[in-house]
Amino acid sequence: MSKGTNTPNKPAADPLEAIEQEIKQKRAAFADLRKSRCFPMFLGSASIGHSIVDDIFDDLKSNFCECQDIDVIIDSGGGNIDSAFNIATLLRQYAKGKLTFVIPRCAKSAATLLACSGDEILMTPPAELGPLDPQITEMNPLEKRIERFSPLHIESTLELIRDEFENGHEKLATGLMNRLQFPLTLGSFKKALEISSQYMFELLSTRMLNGNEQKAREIAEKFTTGYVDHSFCIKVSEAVKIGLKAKELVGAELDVAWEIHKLNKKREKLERDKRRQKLKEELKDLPSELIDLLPSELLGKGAVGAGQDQTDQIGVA
Amino acid sequence: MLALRITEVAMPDLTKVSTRLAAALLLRNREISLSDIRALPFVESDEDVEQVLGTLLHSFRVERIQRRGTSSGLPEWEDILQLQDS
Repeated sequence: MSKGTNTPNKPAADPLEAIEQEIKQKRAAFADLRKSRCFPMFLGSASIGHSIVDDIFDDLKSNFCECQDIDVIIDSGGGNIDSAFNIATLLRQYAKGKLTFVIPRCAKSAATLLACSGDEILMTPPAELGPLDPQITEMNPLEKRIERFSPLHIESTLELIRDEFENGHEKLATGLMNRLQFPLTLGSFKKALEISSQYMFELLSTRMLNGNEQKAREIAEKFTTGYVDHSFCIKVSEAVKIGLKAKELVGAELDVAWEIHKLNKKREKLERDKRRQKLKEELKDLPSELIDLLPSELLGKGAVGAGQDQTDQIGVA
Repeated sequence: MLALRITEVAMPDLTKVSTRLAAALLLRNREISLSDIRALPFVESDEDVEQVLGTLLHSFRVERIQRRGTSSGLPEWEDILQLQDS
């Protein structure tokens, strides 16, 4: 990883390589402007997970030992909340001075937790944070589709069933009840909300809002249960309104951060095109016998999810 | 070729074709990346990716890991589904 200083670069023939060089230069320029060290976390479509914790620790251990101020430039849609908490504590340990999270465009879900772990958040005008209610991915056995839901939906579902029962629609209420999850599973989904809130409180109350436990608790509660949908767009004005130390990037810092974001997106697109081309070749060579090895539900011989009960949880994001 | 076999199966939507291709790649290579899923034919949106990914997670015993890309000097990761031994 670059240490945020300008290094002489040879001109690159490959467009992808050229963009990468340009990103490195912009990153160094951003570090010079801010007089800090720059730590990029461009996750693109990758989720925050256990393996990333290891890689980040390796980077910090090798390159950030005597580090005062660190600016983490983050672009992420989120991931595993435990891993995000772990990464947050590592970054805090290595930033001996100020730890700032710079968000050119997105730090949603678990990445929002990460962004709240520093001293300050810097956001461009289109940048967004997101709510922290965990997302549970499940196979809907009736629709035969993968669906996402939040533990917050459990409350509203139970309320709906209660209303139907109280309005005399007992059969309907019973039918709905029968389609609900195993109670322990429902309980564990609800518990996931508390874990998110606890992590947020822990991080906020020990750095950004050090000494203001009441505010930290309010913000943690707001992020986990205070927004109607997981996709809710929390811009810098809302972040400030709820009490976070967030600021809008301006001037040259804004220009460079936005250029880094655009170059990174351009790089992702080039990589996707390259991958698509490679995959095209690979698909041509797939042996047809493989199709006989696919699970029956993928071949339409049985319903996807058939034989599985409703508690068949497949992931938490 | 796999593509010929796939056209023989009646399919209600194109995401299912993508899912079968993804499953075949997973079986052959023992792993598939999210970037590969994103690059599959008929995968156009994040929702398509989620459907393919979710179905693979549901149908196979896989572990989801993140692997660091090695092609560039920039730190970048991609999600990989790895087939587990049964």
